[in-house]
Amino acid sequence: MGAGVLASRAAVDRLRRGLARDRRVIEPRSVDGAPLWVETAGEGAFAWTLAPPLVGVKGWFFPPREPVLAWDGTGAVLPTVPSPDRIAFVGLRACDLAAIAHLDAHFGADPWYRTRRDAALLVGVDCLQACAGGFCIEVDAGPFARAAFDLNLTPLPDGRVVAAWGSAVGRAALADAGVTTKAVDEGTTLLLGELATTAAASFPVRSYVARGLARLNAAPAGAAIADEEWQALGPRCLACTGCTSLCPTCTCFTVVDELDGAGGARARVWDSCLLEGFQREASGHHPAPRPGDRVRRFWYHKLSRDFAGPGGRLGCVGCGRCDVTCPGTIGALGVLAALGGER
Amino acid sequence: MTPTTCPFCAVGCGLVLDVAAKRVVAVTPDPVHPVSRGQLCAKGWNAGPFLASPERLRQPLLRRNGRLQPAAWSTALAAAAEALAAARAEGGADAVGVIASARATNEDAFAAMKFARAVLGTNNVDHCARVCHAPSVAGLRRTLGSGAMTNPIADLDEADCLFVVGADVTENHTIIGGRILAAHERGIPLVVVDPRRTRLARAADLHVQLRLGTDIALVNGMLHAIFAHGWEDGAYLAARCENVAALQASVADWTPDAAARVTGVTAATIVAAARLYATSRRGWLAYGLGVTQHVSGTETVIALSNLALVTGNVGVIGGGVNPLRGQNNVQGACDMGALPDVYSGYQAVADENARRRFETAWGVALPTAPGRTSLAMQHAAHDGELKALVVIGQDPAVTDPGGRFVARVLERLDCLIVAELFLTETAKLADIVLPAASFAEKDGTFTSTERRVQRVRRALAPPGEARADWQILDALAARLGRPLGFRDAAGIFAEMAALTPSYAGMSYARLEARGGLCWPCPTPTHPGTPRLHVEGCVRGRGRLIPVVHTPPAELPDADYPLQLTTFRLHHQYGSGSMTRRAPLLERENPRGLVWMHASDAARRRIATGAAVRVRSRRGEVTTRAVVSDDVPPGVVAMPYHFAEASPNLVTNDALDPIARMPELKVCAVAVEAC
Amino acid sequence: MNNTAAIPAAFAATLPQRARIAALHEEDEDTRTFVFRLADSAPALDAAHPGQFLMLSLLGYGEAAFSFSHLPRAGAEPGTVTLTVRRVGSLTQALFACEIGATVGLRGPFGRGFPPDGAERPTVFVAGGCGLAPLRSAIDVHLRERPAGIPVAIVYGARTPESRILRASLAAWQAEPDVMLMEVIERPTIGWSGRTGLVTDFVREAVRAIEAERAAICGPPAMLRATADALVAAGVAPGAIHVALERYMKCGTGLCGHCYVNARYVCSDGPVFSYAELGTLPDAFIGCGSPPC
Ligand code: SF4
Ligand code: FES
Repeated sequence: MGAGVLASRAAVDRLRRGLARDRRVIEPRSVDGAPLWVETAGEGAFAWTLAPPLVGVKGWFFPPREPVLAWDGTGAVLPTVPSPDRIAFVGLRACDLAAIAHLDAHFGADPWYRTRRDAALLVGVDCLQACAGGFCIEVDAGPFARAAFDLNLTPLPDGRVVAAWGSAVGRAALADAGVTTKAVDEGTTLLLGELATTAAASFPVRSYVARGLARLNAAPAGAAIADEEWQALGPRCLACTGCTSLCPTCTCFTVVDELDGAGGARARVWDSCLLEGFQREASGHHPAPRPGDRVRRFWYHKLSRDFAGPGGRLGCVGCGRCDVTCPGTIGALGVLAALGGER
Repeated sequence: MTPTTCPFCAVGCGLVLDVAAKRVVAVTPDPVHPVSRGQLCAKGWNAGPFLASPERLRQPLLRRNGRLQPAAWSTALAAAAEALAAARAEGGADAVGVIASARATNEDAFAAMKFARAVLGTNNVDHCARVCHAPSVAGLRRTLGSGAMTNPIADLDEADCLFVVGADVTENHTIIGGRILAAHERGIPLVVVDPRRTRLARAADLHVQLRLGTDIALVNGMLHAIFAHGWEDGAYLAARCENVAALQASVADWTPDAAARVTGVTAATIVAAARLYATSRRGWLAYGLGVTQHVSGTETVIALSNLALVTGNVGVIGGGVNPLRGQNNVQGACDMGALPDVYSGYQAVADENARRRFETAWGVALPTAPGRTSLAMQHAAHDGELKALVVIGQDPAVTDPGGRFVARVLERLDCLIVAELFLTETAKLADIVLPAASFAEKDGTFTSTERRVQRVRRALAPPGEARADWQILDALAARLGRPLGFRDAAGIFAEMAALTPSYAGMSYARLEARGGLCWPCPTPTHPGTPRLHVEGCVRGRGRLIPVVHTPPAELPDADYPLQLTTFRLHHQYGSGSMTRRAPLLERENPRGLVWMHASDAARRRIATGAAVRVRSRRGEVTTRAVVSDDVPPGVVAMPYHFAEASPNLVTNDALDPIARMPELKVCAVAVEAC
Repeated sequence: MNNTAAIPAAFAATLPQRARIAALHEEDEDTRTFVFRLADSAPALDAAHPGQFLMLSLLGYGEAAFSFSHLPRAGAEPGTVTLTVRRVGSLTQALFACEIGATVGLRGPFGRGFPPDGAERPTVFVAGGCGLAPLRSAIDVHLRERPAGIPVAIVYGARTPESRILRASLAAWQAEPDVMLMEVIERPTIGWSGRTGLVTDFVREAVRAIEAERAAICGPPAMLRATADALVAAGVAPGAIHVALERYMKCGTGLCGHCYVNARYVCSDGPVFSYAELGTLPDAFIGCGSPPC
């Protein structure tokens, strides 16, 4: 919606403290050597170059367990209405922002999601350098932010920061914090372009990604990849639920009734389509009976254009978390390497 | 955000508990944990739900008029103390006993053994290692001098050959299993010895699908081939081992053909397995319950130790004899001396010096004769010699062999006291049930399968009036007039470390670092010992001990024509009291099942999903069939997590004569459609 | 359904509507038809189309999806919901334990049902087993809306004569003019003198007999594709064959992901798809060898 130049990184600190006046401010910090999202009140040095935390922010909007209704002994049933704190995430990377755009599209007007999401203000920070296992650039999700932010910051080498606002709330946050901006001049625009080029060049060459994606997306659906290929990958899925839990765009849930005395609660609970029980029907019929069927189905969901979301972007945003957490080495890059003939 | 250690299997993965509104809202992997490195298995990911289950015990229960009813702590403790005192008065100190928990912390286990010995005055203390790895302790202590995993998990990445025996690693120790799959994909040869076609077996370069309980014959056949081809490590044998000639002589008759006749695998396969393992520079050998849960469990462990020593694989990077322990803290419970014959650090109760040390520290005379194992306690209870039993966080009525017998025996006790998270099958039989805190609600340490001692941290308060096991025992001890004198978990650890040479250099301050320390860690500056036996074996020379094949105690016959073996599922744990309360885990394997081969199924007109009855000489169980080539013809396999279809109603409680380990892995059964 | 005054409308709208069991009828040992009466008026449910479904909720047992077996549009009383339920899981087990007057929760209708147009074209309905339940409302609406003289064929396959459900409807159709009812029994018992075999054996005959241009299928997974293929072979265009898919469903509104088939959600894009559409969804019929309903 617009952009301006902040004179220095100190202005960002002012913004952070300004946000903290009426919001909980959550930022990435290195804790015991691992990047984590922690509540900072906007204080302390901002971690400009920290890699995104292994556990993303999805759970703030779509919690692992979301009670949706409760009943008591009298049979009265009431929906459970969340009352989230006002919050600001500062330091979201492009991949996670692209993922939130997916979540927004998927959940639409769902009142639980909307209530939590509306309470949050999102401040992105562009990556000038590839992170270790990330491949956002291959899936058009980064390293510079494309979507979903209220504000997005690009730190310039000379200390200035370009701030783009994607919403009126974002723009107002700058003003409320007393942060002034200058217009983005031509030199700065050129500089941004150079930074984008350098950032892009910092990614290792992974030609198998494009090959794998091309095979997976060849028409008609499924034609280019023989069933045996998927069935060979099947046993490598140990059904741990790690990928689906960490995936910033995974949205599947099941619904469970939890009894407590005479009353109880009904809750949405994160589910995983890689579990055998996910689609097993009460009759015993199973539409994805073999592990390879489930692996294929999952990766189609992530990597097929059929599932493209906002901006035509794939369900996979290239964050690389599944590759870290998969004990069977079939995270996104692992699978694309297999499909792309690299392993 | 509380970093802690997974409460399920003994891999010891790091997980992070996220607590909001007094509830664990998310369990996530610890990204910087040295073992799990940002990964968890399905159990770890689903460690949250059981904590918040409304079925958690929140207050003590006391049996009145035949029914368990809520009671105040003071009432319950008074009743427990009175019952224990009465049992002692009537039958002497050995009329009481304690079953400690391999799930609880080291601090809890140490408290249990101190409670038994210093308060009750008996060495009748044991835990479930009896039903998993007692043979490892017995066997490896004889051959190497230490019963623990010799090499770290990470060493499998340094190996030139991976040799897995009787362990379903991808399902039971998933994070290790994944690492094995990854190493194999990098080109490291993998040999799997297992009667079942496990996931690893399917991936392996060589699957040695031997008959149940014939591992010793296989190993002796391999040793024969190794000596015959000169694949042994002569220099290593000369420098570091003893009894070489005797071993070599003992396998002289075990030609691969002879071994083939017993094991049912071809001689060529036996030689190939021997070649792969012996001619690789470093072989990482791991084994599981398929080795130990046999009448010949201890001897099979010795056979594997022979194999590793002969090929020069003990005390080297990337090698080792590595028992994969089952429960999160079964190693720790052993280390803590929750065993009838040793104090913490495997100091024998029969050793006067050791006993003195504990007597001095605790200011009380300690019993001298080794106590009863848990199964011996059951038999003593049956015979009326054991009158009262304290069971902490174990469910022997489901997990022990001959389940009905166990239940009957427990009912015979004058008093059964159970500390538990849930009203388990065992707790239902109790006279007094005491609500226990879970791993997330207390501080402490667990010791993983690789002897890694790691912190467990309190992330939230226990539900209701539940307390940590050590607090319960402390309160009970006080009622009996001999307080344990514990103030907090750190204090227990310090007391234990001062009395336990292998833990002497550890403290909570040092254990703050992720990944903790591996024992032995004798001094405060010692870095810990990931790899044992490097400068020679703990006992000096590695001892080679000839062992002979003993067939399973019960072989199939006309009445019971099939062999039943047991196994565990990735998505369940133990008797399921924690995992079955996680909706995703419970859904994954909703009920007890029996796996059988298509040929056996067809003969009985059984299809997948059909209700079947599994019968043995000891009992029967009704369950559902899964027709699968995971098992060979003649073998059926059941997971043991489901109380409603527990194979332990039919399994054999014939014992390993050395470690007194029951033969859970094989018995004869009949299966029919019903 | 309760005092929801203080509850934001978006949340209140998600609550199941309260209904009571007003009548029930045993179809066979494991199949029962329930008539529920809604506590409050529910225009959306009254206007539901054949092939749409709702989520039935039992507190403590969760929710499950069921297709309507009778509808106001087919002559059922407004303010009622009729479901024919087979006992297969814990929720249906609990429902079978309920007596008349017991309270349940209902949410719906959801999904895309059988296309409302086409009453003027000769149509074959093919049902297998308990698949007759959802198809019944489609048949009844069709019979009401078809112009006089337009023929209809109904092919209904059941395992045994005893396992046939909704017998009153079968009898009623039998009596309708220009309706050809073909009952096919897979495992005939003594006394059965009608057709035996599988529905697929009789599809061609049915299509020929009425010169069908259009078809609707509902039944166990294994039967769907075989029947659709038989219809195509008999000359019905894939685009005019409407197949009701079933999937495990948890939300009914395209959020939970349980029902997805390739890039489609059965709950919101279906459950009725044309066979031409299904041709673009290679996952639709995977696993169709496993036990039928
Ligand atoms: S592998 Fe074991 S320690 Fe690791 S998460 Fe799973 S159960 Fe926990
Ligand atoms: S049932 Fe939830 S998405 Fe279809």
